[in-house]
Amino acid sequence: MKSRKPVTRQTLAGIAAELADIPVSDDALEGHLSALTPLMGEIDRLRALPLKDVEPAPVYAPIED
Amino acid sequence: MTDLSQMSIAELSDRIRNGDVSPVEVTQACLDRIASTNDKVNAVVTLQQDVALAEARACEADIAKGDYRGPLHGIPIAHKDLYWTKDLRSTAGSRLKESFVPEEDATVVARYRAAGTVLLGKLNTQEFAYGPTNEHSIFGPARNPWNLDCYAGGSSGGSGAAVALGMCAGATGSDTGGSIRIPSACCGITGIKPTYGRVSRKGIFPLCWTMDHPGPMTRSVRDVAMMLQPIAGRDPNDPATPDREVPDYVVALDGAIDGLRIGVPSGYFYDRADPEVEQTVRGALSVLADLGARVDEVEIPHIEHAACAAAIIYYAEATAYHDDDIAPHGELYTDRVRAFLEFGNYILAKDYLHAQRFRTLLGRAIADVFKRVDILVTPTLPITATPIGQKTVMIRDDEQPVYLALLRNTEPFNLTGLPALTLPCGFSTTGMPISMQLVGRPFDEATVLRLGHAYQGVTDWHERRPVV
Repeated sequence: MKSRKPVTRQTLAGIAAELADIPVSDDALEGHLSALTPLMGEIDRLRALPLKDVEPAPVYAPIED
Repeated sequence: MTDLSQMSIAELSDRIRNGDVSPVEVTQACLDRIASTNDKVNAVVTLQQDVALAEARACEADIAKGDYRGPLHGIPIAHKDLYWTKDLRSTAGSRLKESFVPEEDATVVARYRAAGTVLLGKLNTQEFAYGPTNEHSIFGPARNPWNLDCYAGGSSGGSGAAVALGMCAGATGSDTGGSIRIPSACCGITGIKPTYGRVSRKGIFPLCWTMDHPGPMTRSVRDVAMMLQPIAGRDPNDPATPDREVPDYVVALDGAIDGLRIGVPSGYFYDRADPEVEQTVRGALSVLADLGARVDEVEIPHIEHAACAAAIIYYAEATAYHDDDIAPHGELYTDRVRAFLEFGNYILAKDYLHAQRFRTLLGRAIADVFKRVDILVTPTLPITATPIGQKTVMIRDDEQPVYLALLRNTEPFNLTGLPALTLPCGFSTTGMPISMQLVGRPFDEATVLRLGHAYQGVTDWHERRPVV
């Protein structure tokens, strides 16, 4: 598993404006960056767990009625 | 004369059934209590005084003619404002829904109506239940009745403060990362997050579909059992509710706890708690041991990743739910909740699924632990409630964000869906409540209630009331 590159303001601004269509102010971006950077590190550590043969918790149940 | 607003549901129920007390008297006592204390704590956000009294009079008349519906008949309660209540404003604590009046009840609300309860009104909540302090609401923060400078805890903060003060005999809450247990612990009351699917989510604004757990908040374990009874079980309108038998929770309270095996997961839950909290909960463990329970240390592999997985899941699911509103009506959200909703746009689909895989991994790890013990006991929170607006807290020389500290011990059991009861077990030197959390196997609410009830049988922490 490759580690991800650090999240940047440009990445967040681009996702917000172009993908999500919810532009975020410069001030808010700074806050988002400082909150998300440690989370991305945590995600990397979570990915190092033995998840390979584990199914996600919610599984589809056929609708019967 | 005894203040009816301070009585337990169990005692009120007996007196109402025997005709010693009228539901009208009980309802009026709660309304008086709301009138004298609500301006201090901001718990009740919509009051239906005349309707409540009319409902109480109808209960009185029905009981008088022998149409007794059961132990909750005539008991005044209130609902978290996240629950849909027919013909009664249901705001979710948000400007986005400030004028929303549902045309139908949530399943839980309907079941309480059928059980004969009196509905007093609606209770403050963190906006859309998105946060553990109840500081961010269209109505302003719900304050802690033990110290008005502190938050009541969230997201069901109004429920915590209202029940602690006797504004209602019991209340509903909902718990996605700890939102029943956190305010219950902050306010010194008793609350349960039942097993995922034990109680219907239908008609409650979702925060996070796969982790939302509705449940009751009261002043004792017996009262929790009484309030859990009518709402537990299958609801055809909520596919998460399985068709499983519901035991009699009140009958189950009186079973033996001698020999019950308690697991103490020290590494994650105790070692990073405030020393005063740790000491108090270890004192409660000694009480449980004296009652005949066997206490052993256990370890839960991987649990240190729970906060990360939970955050990914909140962010992704909540942002999906609010996707149609955040762009056109973003200015209607509080800044804090809007920021959380914006975070969700940065979560990759694969990371969401990795977090859901982690839930399976953690669930298996805890199931392994439950082969050796019957119940886990932890501090509900590693801290006591802190002042409103304070962003960080020092725990053992480690400065942590308050919201992460509040969620740390509760959210693993939202990820795993296990039943978790919180009950008070002491007070800090500053006079703030400290609580412990009892966690059981899936759908085994009866065992956690039994152990909690045994503890409250020999202690009186749950009988202490704040003075405002």
